Amino acid sequence: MLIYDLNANPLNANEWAFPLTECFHITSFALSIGTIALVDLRLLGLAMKHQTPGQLVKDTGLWTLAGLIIVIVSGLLIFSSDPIRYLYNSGFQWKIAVLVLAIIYNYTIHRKVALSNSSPMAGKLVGAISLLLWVLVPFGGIWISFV
Amino acid sequence: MSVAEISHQIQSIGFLTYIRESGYTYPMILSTHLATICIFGGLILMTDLRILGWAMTDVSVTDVVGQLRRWKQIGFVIMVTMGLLLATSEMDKYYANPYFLMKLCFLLLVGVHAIVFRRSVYGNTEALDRAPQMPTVAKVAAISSLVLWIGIACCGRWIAYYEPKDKDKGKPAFSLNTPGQLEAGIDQRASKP
Repeated sequence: MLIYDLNANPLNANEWAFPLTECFHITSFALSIGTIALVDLRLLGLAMKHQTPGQLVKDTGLWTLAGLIIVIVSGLLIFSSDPIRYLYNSGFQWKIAVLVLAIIYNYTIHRKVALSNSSPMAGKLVGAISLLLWVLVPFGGIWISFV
Repeated sequence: MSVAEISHQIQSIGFLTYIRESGYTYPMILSTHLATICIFGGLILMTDLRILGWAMTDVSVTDVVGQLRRWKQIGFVIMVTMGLLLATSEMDKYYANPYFLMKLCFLLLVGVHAIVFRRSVYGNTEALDRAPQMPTVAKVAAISSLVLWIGIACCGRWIAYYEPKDKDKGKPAFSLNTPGQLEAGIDQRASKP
């Protein structure tokens, strides 16, 4: 049987490693969620009114994806520091559920509506749901430490 | 009165005591702080990346700066309000935390940054859009903004890992360990060889 020695994980062995990984985590989710929020604000008709939502999706898409990749990699590293503890943490379970939902939503309905010239009403609904989903993810993240 | 006494007076204010001792108000405020970082911090990053010519290059700087300004202002106010509540409710621990003080210095520099670059960059976007190449002053503004804001985020995170020499004075404000475990000397995070 493989026994995973937590103390061998650099994140637990080096005092700089864990917070530094979290800094990458925070900066990259600011980037990914921020770029999605930019499209959402446009869908809601609250900002970037001179551009179409579709143009903004294309403009920010690469940054959103880059942010998501870094956020997931750094998140997996943080997870590896104590997998069992995270797996059984209800805050973590909730966060991952919302995150998966938000990512799927972002690359299906959200993208489709933003790229098509759908009615402003549909855009507003899709933008509002997107903002709500993404805001719930950091709430779940904080809750990990408080449940 | 010493700084320690003033800090203790601050955190003893009724509603700040309530926040500190509450089960859910504190994490709610912390989560709101983080959620505003996600959304509005991201808008700041995108503005800087646009000025550097790395993102959204088919949108004018005027549009990016002008259309997002109000939202960044709203985000900044929520972010700072929540941050102040978090810090003042645990002022005993925060006032001597070097990362907190460093974060305050960075925030002060953000104010200086705004004043220094207001006329030449953020209030001058139409000239930036007309210029054949992005002027150096604008690039300096964008890079220093990136450095300052990422620095602020990192300092904020590091606040939680600072442990004063006198162990009784404070414990990490935010870590996987519950207070009970820390008091019992069980520190999952610090289980270093």
